[in-house]
Amino acid sequence: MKSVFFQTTGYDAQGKAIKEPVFLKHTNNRSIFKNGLRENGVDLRLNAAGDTAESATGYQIVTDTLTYIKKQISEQKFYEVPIADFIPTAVGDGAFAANLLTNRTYQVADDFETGNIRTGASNSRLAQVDVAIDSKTLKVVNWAKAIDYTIFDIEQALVANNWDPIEQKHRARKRNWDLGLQKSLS
Amino acid sequence: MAQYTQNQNQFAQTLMLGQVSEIPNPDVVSALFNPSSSAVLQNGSAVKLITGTSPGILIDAVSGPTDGPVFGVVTYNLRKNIYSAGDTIEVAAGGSYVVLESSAAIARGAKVVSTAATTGNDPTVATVSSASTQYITGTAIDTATASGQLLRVKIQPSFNGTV
Repeated sequence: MKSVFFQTTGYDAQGKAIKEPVFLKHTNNRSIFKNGLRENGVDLRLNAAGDTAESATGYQIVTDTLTYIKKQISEQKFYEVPIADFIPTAVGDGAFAANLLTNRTYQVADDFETGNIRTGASNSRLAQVDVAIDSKTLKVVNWAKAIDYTIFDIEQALVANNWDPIEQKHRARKRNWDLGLQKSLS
Repeated sequence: MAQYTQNQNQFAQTLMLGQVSEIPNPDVVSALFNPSSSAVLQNGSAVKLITGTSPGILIDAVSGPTDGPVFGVVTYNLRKNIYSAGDTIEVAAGGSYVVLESSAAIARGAKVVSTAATTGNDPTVATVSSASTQYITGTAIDTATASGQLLRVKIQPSFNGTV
């Protein structure tokens, strides 16, 4: 039997429905009594060693029957800049090469006024412009980070509240990449 | 020393105490926290093997640098990071890389010893100060310039009373 269903209670800025859990007849075996038995007395161990206090990390949190778990999760905010708005960015160009060689071309000439002539008659000598090229070689750095999860983590986190560890771990890795590129280009 | 916490607004992501690094780790095992222990264990705590009847690996908290030998350290996990006696706990043993917290400056390559967690305070590591009486937890892979910093430690316990 499900103890909770999700009811739409409003809409966020993107027009997406905000759903909040509504508790039905029982509260998923959570109890305010020690070991769930009334004769043991009220469980007051919230901040005792061995129990996870509110600010500690972990999805296993001590609650009582009047605890309401919000659907919305507060996420981290990072200082982010859209790199491509400021720097020409070519994604994937030579990604799996060992080195990237970029040619740099130059236009070689003296001052504008050195080209002043009258009519250029009688095989008069003329100043000249030329071009040059050099190159810059940069090593390609391979980057990889891992994420892992267990079936128990996924299932227990979903039972405990509304947190999807798989999605969050993928997002964390992508954010790590984004912030790393931002840091190395700034 | 307070407990290490995350901040919601940051410039870059930060580590978590007890997080494993450099995966795959060669030796992370599930162990039983001595059911009659009165100690506090959390992510980053050093643990030792103890005698007693148990179908699994029976461990208890290391009370300080002179208690040991160290078997491994408790790893961070998503579910809960403060443990009661009788809990089953994942422990990173020798050869694993784990993020631990410094109690003072630590040089890269230094051998470190563990100080136990107390309620509300993280376990910490420090450079070994008495080679003949302290049990090594591992080798510092990163540098810590002050207390309260997270650094990677390669778990390399010493198995006798000397370094």
